[in-house]
Amino acid sequence: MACRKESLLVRIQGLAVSVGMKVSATRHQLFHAKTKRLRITVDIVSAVIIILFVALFLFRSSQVMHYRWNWKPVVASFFNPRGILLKGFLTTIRLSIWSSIIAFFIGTVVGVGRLVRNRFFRMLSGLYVSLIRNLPPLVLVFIFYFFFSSQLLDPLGIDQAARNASPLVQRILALFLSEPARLTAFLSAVITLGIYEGSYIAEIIQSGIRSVDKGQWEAGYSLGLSSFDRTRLIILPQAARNALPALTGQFISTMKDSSIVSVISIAELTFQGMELTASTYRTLEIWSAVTLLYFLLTFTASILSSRIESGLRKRFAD
Amino acid sequence: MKKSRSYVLMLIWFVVLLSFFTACGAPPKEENTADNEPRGNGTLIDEISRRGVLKVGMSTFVPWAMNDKNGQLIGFEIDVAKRLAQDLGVDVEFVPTKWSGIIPALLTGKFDVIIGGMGIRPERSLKVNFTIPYDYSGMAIVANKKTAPGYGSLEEFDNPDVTVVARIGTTAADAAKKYMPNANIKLFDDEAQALQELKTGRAHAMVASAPLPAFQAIENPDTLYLPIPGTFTREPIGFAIRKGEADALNVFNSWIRVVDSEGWLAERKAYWFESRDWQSALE
Repeated sequence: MACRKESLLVRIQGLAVSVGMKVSATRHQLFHAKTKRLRITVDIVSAVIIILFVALFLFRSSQVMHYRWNWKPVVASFFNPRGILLKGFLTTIRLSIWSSIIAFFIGTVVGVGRLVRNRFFRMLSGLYVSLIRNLPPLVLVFIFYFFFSSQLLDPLGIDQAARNASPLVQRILALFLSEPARLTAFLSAVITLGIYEGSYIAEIIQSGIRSVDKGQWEAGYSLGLSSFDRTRLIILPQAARNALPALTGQFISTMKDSSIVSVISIAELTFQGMELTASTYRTLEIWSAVTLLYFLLTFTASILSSRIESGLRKRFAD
Repeated sequence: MKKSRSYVLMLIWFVVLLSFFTACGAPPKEENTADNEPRGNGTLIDEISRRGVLKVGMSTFVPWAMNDKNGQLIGFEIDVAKRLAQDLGVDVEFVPTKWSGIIPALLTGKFDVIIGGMGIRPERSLKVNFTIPYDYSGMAIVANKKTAPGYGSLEEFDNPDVTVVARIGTTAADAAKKYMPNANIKLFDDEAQALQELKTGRAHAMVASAPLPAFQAIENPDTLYLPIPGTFTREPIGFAIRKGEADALNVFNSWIRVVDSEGWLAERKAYWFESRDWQSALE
């Protein structure tokens, strides 16, 4: 026993000596190796903890809640070109992309509008931002769907036009927007989300413009550029670069916020999840799957955005 | 001084903007023509034929309307709406809508008719017009074996210690309140959530339109059972349309009389409510 203790002590001492030597040798390298090893350990530990939690959850749900897991409805409705969960997933993507595009345009115009000299534009933009940001998005969706959409979009006869369009046009519409029958509802959802997110993007753009050094304006002025050209050619590109992290964050947020339009029966992921639950009563499986799908979307988007950011940073580094 | 002036200006712009938006929609002439399009009374059928499409508002509810594994809607109500459209010589288009917003959606013209197992109720008929009943439904109750063992009558559930769940805004919720006034009633947005509450044992019983309780008792024999057999209410089910469409109401009523006399309704109902042959289409 004593012998083993001794040998252990010797080994620890030896380790300490070797560590000390290494530290004196390449301190920097070791630091990196150490943090890398530490990171791997942390990764493994957290993975084990997560797996344990999931196992515990599954165990508890089957033992205590008498829940019998049945993933068939989820699999059938996602891994199927006509499955409703897959359709919802694609609709959420389309919805987020279109409303982000609209939001970006509104946000840029309004964000610039808040900084112009003309008081009319400044106040109109300020009014828009403060009005939209201080309303719950759900209320906005209801107002737009039951009031503006009925008053403004329905009389345009978009649904009817889409229904009478040629099969090719209908297929293109279905691919990029929504099935022709629900086009008006989809458009009103896209516009509502665009208006809502636009108010946040306006703030981001505004602060992005403010972050550009004053000297840049003066430089533009001294080059003889008009105020519009100065904004377009000198200020906005720099402002966009400064605002990019916040903008991509807002895009991810749009993906999540798009779930609120489920209340006006847009067939996006959350709504389809509810529909599938109502049809099959597999509540836990379906919402787990929906959670995973949203995470997949937002996580992919955040990885992509960090790639873009680092790419831009390299480009503009020198 | 300058600041207060800018606030006044802002207020003026707000008023101008508001009046612009309200000016876009012509003010409704009567209380019930809240829908936008300039359709007068009695033109719904003309409009459906001109459009070539019957737009039907419905909400998913087993086995009235549900999504099969191919994303197609199937169910009793779906059969009814498809046959109706076929007999009118038009295509059918379903608009799945959340139950809590289905009447406002009808009134704002999002679809032509609700064929969604809607029970005919006096307070609902103040807002919409109902056809004659094409179906009768009744409320049934399903209970949890652990939390409410061996109950045999509704009176036993009528107790402040008992929690009864139902879907919000349905006649099931009304029936639960009427027959079990002392019980603790908890309402959910759809049946799936209510059922989950019952299965996990946070509730003692669930009230819903037959045959859902019976189906669930069969599907979960370890946890759920039927305290009383059959149904304890009987309620008429009709199509709902916007008020004042006398022509459309007459067309739909005649159609219901015809398919009822043919025995077609009874045959479809037997398929969806008594057999479970369609179960394989779901999973």
